[in-house]
Amino acid sequence: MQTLWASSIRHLLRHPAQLALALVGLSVGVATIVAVDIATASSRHAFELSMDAVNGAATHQIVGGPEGVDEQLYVKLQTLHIPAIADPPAFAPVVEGYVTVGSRALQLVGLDPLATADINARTEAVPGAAGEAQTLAASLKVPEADVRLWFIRRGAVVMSARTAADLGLSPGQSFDVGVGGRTLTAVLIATLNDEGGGYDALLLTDIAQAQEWMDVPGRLSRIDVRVPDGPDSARILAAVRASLPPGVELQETESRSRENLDMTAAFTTNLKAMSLLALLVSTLLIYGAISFAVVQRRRSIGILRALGATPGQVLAIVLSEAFVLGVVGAATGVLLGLAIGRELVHLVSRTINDLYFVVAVNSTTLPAMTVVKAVLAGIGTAMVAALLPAFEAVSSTPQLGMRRSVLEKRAVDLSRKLVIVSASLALAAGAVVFSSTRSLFAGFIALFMLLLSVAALTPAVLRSLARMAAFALRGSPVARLAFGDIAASLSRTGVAVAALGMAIAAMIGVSIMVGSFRESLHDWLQRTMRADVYLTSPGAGGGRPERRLEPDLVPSLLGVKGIAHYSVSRRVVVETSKGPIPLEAAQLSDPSYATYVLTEGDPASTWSSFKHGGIVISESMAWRLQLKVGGRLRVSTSSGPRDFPVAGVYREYGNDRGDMLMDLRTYRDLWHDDALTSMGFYLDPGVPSATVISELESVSRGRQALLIRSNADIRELSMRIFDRTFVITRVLNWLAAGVAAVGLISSLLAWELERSRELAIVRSLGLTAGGTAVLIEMQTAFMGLAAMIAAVPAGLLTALVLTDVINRRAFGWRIDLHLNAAQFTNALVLSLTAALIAGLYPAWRAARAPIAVEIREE
Amino acid sequence: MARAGVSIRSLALGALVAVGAVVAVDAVVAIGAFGVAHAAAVPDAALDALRPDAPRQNESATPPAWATLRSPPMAAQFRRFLTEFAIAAAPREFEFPRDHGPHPDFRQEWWYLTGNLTATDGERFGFELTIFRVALAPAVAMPPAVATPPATATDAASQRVGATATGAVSPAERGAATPAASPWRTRQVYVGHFAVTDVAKHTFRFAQKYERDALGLAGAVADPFRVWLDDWQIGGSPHWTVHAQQKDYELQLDVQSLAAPILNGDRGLSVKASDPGAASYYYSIPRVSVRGQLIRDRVPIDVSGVAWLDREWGSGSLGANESGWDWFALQLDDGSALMFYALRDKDGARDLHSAGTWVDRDGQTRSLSSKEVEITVGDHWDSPRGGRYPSRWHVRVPALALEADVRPVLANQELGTSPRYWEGAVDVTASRSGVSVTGRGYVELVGYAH
Repeated sequence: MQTLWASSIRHLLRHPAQLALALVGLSVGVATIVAVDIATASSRHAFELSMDAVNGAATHQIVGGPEGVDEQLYVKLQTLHIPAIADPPAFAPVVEGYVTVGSRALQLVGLDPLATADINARTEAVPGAAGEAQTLAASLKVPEADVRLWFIRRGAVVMSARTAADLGLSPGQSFDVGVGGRTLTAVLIATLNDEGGGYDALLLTDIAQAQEWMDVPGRLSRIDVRVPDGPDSARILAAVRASLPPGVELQETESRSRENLDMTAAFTTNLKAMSLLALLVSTLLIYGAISFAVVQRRRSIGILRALGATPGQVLAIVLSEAFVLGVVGAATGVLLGLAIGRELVHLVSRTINDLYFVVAVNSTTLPAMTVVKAVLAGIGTAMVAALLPAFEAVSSTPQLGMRRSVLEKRAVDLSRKLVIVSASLALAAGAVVFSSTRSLFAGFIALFMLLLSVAALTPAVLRSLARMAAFALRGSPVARLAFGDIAASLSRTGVAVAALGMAIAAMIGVSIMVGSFRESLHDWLQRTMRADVYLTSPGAGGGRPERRLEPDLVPSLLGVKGIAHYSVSRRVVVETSKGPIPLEAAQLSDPSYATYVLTEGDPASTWSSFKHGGIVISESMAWRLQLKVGGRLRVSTSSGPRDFPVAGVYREYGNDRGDMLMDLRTYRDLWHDDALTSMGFYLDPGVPSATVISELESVSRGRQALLIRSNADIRELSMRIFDRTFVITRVLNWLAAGVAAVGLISSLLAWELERSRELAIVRSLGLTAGGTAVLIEMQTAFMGLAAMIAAVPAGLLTALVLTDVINRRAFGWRIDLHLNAAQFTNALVLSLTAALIAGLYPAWRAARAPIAVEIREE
Repeated sequence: MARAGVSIRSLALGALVAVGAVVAVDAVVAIGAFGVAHAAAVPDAALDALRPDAPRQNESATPPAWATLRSPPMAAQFRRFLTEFAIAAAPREFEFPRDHGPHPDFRQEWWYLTGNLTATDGERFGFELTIFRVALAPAVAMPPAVATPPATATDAASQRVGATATGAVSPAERGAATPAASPWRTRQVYVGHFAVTDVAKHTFRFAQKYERDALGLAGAVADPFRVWLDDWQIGGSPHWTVHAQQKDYELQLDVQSLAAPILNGDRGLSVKASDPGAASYYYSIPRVSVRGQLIRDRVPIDVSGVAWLDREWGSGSLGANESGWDWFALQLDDGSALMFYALRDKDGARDLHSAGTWVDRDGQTRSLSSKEVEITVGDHWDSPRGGRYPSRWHVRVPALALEADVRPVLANQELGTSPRYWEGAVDVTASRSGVSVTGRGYVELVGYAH
């Protein structure tokens, strides 16, 4: 046994480059998993902390329609007497909104600290309030007396010390706050020393201040409720519910935060799938590395077996090697992942900020589970990869084990069998797609099956291509040698090319998907953004609701010269039986109807139903809520709950939560809300947009800062956000390709090392050093090409699965497939570059090695 | 905190409680140790609240209150800010029910109701329901709207330095001026303390609530008298009622009869120290007969008893050298009553400004000076929260031939509010001119929690 160990260690030490490459591959694979986990967990953690900070000890929330809740309801609840209960509930009013400070969006939270204190610590049962007050006095770096400024100082705000530092503010300083297009003056009266980071995206102010800034006199965004646990809670809830007017609901805090978090679920699933892809590629890599290690020692293993080593001993050695490799690879992978994760966090949180909610990620979280998962994945991958070569080494009889030809024959047999495996995987992938209709998970399973199917097919493709090439170029001995060699050494070349093929297929698939999505979005923007000029009162960006236009400004805006006709709309978020949904209540001008691409429902009947109280919903909403034309959706209106018929489904890429469109008259009747948030202007022929824009700007100047943009500007801005969103996808894609390239290098190196003798013989027969290098580069380039050829059809299939299955199931979007040459040439360039780079070192080595030494080794 | 995420939650809580705590500090201890120092600590930044942009909502024809403040230099403005509150400097004419109502020009004010209750089966309870009003800034910082002046607006007796505006505690102060001003804006905050002493269950339970004087959530009116904070209230019509609720205890009392108010100190002016402004207006209703229900853990218990209402308002605090006080309100079964507050200097000695009032069974009062009342402490109680309180007293008033032994019905009647203080029901065994008489009462101990 000792001899076996010694042989194993000596072998590994003698091939450090190969060992290092296998480790790099494994590390990068593990690192990708860790990095993605860190990025998503950190964003999620930041969001949860923020929700915690906002919600405090509230168990429930009372929420209303777009205009929030009447503050008189709070007064009523504060004096609500529920007979014969042991512990009364506590209520706290909240006015929320989004503001900007400099370029940063913050969530404005208007509180009544007196009530919030009450909700958190009304009775002795929650001790320590006084102590915490002192903690605060210490953590608010101000004398206690300053705290009264919260009430009496106009513009008084509090933010976390970190946010203040980021913005360059210190207590006592005044600064500008952008609220719905107006610039107001705030004073930082204190900062919070909050270690956790839950306050980093918040700007706290008094409820009076928030009402004035958000211009919502008499309204609250919500009322936080703390219902004590215990036998009375059901009665308390019933009593509270009974006091609510129509259109106002009591909901559990937890479920509301979860709803918010669910918004990002599809997004994070996509990220995780990408990180799995990297690991999958690295599995093949490790398989390659270990099987080479085994294969190279076939002779010594054969001798050892002949000397009496049992199959179990050999198996133990090979698996132990894999285990050690796995441990080391996983450990370095976790460290590497930490480093990559820190960078990835910024990309992920920026996307979340663009698309979902304001989150400030200032600390990275490394979940313990991630480390466990990564270490297990690393070790498991290495073991699984080693299992096949280990069994192979063991199962051959001692004498046969020494012979290469046996192995190659087996590899050829295996590649034939793998074609069948590949076909079955592809069929199974199809079956999974068609048998599951909504499951995103099943979609990903199918995707991975498809990629594995590519991997399984590649060796056979490589072999046939190589044989065909050798036959076609039979006139040139060097070419024949080069390609014949590839076909004959399938056990070496096959796996590396399979890994590369899989990475390229994924890359083609992803780039087709992103490209198609981009095209679809572009087309959609072209069609939708028909009005020449758009005007809106800015919210904080993303899917967050805009503020209303100043009512007395509206007629002056509409009166600007050069406007032929216009559409106006009110954007709000309404509560439905299936959670909050953005609603656009629009009064459409005639050409505006055509800007909606209906994917369900015919235009005539859809728009006629729309004018009579029907809603038109976006594709993603239809998908998510499983609604069809003719279905109904219950929405809480200010006049109580109403069922709205679905008149049509339209294409909408603006919001993956879904959107619904309603006639402005219907909305006004039911919500008693006359406000408007945006306008679209169709100009008289020949009137330039710029003229109207500057006219609109001068009308609104000094009254309300509005976002006024030409349609071209909006399209450009949308595309920019889109590109930003997909930066992460591209980054992960390149990581996977990087892993594959490393794999190819490591396989080639092993292969070239192994046949150094053959090469030396060829050289002794007259092939020059340069010729040898060319030979090797030809071979590697050919393998890159073969990987590419195997990957193209698979990449197309992958793209189909990504657009039609994954994207549809994740977001409900339907995307038209758009192909362009660049998607393929990029992949070709990648695979050739990777292959050529991989060949450089072996070529250099082979050309340089003294022939005599190589031959004498025999 | 029930949940594991203590740090974040406690910070969240801290953030919000602190503001309330400061208010509470003001409310309870403005009269106490920190008062003057605290007021002096109002920072320059507070002056910004006086800036012209702050009260821009006042667009009425009359020049806004702050206009008169614009010319003097900053330092003068600062002093003015501090002295903008009315000060209890001279005796005044009391008038009821007017003075049951709020006096918003003064910095702080309270309605302090403490009482002993007996259930029909003889079970014994004590309760405290106190509502404090605290002005965070003088009225001038937020100019009043033109509206009906409150009953106290023409308070001739109170001397105001540099008075430029009348304060108003009613909703009139807010809103009205422009639609943009939030009705939540206020400079008045109310704080409530509600405590129940459950002798049989050996339980003392307290709760604290805050509310701003906005939207009718909390406030006080003189006629018909009512002071309230959410659903806690004292007063109302046609007769006064008392209502408060906390975990496991809800109190619902009808006031059956009221003794005539008595004026403490010099015709109601109670001077706490020789420092200027360290005084308040102080009257009491030494007997408030109550009957109603105490609902304990959902079970109503019929109760009746006698309570004591203390009313006090002012803008100053204790003297710089004073550290706290012991306050006694003893109601003897023969219909007489004794109120005495012993102020303590920082060295622990009795301050000479300590004083009291004796009310005989006919309602005739006699002021008691510090020298006339001897108090010896018989026992101590150590608070688990820290601090050592006296716990049993022997009170001698030779001039009245009164000797009284005063014992808490429960040792722990400390309110863990911020700041902490002890306010508890006591039993009294006394002899008056050799005739023994029993009684009940309440004792308040402030400045012991460390």
